[in-house]
Amino acid sequence: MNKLIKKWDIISAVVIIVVCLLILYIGKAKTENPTAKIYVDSKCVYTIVLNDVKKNYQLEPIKNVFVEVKKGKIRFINSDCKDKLCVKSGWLSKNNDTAACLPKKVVISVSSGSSDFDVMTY
Amino acid sequence: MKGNKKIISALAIALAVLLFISFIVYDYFNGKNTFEKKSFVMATVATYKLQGFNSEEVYKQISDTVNDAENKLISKYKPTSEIFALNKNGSVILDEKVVDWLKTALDVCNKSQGAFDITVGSLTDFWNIGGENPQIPNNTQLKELLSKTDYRKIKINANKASVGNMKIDLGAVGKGIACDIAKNCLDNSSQKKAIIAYGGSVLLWSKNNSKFKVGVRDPFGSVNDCFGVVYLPCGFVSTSGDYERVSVINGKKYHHIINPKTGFPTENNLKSVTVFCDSGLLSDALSTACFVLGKDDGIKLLKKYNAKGIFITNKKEVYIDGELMKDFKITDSDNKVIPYE
Repeated sequence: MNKLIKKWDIISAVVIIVVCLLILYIGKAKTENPTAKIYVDSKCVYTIVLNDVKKNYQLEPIKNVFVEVKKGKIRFINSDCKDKLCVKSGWLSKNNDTAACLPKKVVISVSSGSSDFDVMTY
Repeated sequence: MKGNKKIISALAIALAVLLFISFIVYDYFNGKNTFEKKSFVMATVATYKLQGFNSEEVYKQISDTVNDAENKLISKYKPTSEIFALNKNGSVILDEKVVDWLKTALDVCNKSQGAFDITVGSLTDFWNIGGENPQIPNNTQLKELLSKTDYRKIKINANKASVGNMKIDLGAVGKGIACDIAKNCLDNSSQKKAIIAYGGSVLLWSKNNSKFKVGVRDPFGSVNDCFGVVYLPCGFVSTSGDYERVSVINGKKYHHIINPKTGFPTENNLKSVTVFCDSGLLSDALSTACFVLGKDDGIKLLKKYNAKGIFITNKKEVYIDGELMKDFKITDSDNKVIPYE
């Protein structure tokens, strides 16, 4: 008598399930890839997946404020604000890393799935 | 047989799709997806992280309510604001929310014996630390400015406030107030969990009393350096530090936390103070008061409000409330951690 379910039927089923789970896993892994957002006065003007950066480049989200992007990190490189606290913040690469140029109302923040903490004191 | 194969394949695909959908649905119904947004309010960065249904709508409601409060109630610069009117006219009938805020702030002024003073605005405006034109008052200017700095001259009778020739500045508690406003909105919303920060004031909120991992900034490092993590329940956290706003005048650094009694930026051995308590306004006021008072008097003040603190000195000593110590993990061993009772 032929079996209702054969060995290859089970293998096919398992392969299909594994492929779907892999797709899910890869999708989730992508969202945990550090992503930088640049806000100008509350509006997000750039979203950059940092590990996908292949070539270094610079942006000018607002006049005279310059941002440098490299693989895995981002920073303010120059601003015509007086105190340059934004530039002094240095490279941002981990979840919750943030730098702001308050006079120009520009913020860069990095988020990813994992972090040592939910929020940091100022 | 071929039919059976098709059935098995179809079942496998259906099972896989069902698994996939169940992950999505599980995430959605547990509100695991986080809505994140940054904006500018009260001259600082506002950070919103919300989990739950319709997070974007809730964010908009909070943002609008806080902006409204700033424009109509709190701001000392905007002509539409009640505090502006009070400072201009000397005496005015106030919204009961503003009266409550003033009374709470004045209580801290009183209990800190003036280390925290909401009439310090004349001094902070003159110094303009972090602004375009920072300057140091000479002796004559200092005397004049100190004569306009005295919270005891504020009188509140029912909803009427009188300030004489004082100027009220709620800048030291505005961000804490914004956190209180955010909490009220969240309490009436469908959100599950939220972290909202206005500059140095943070609201930790959840429907089911989750605990939060809060990184404590290393005041000797850069803005994203952390020296320890403390687990906190829902509540409010505010930090005052000498690194937040600084100006260099004649080659010397001056920070923005003015001692209302001397008229000069506070000089003691503290680098930063972080306060955790159940009110945004209080956490904001207390962090400033404690910074001015110093560690020993600051600890005494916190006990009056059942608040908990972390005091970091210039020598990298970290004095932390004993109850917070249990849930504190240091990540930078450069600092010496000392619990206090």
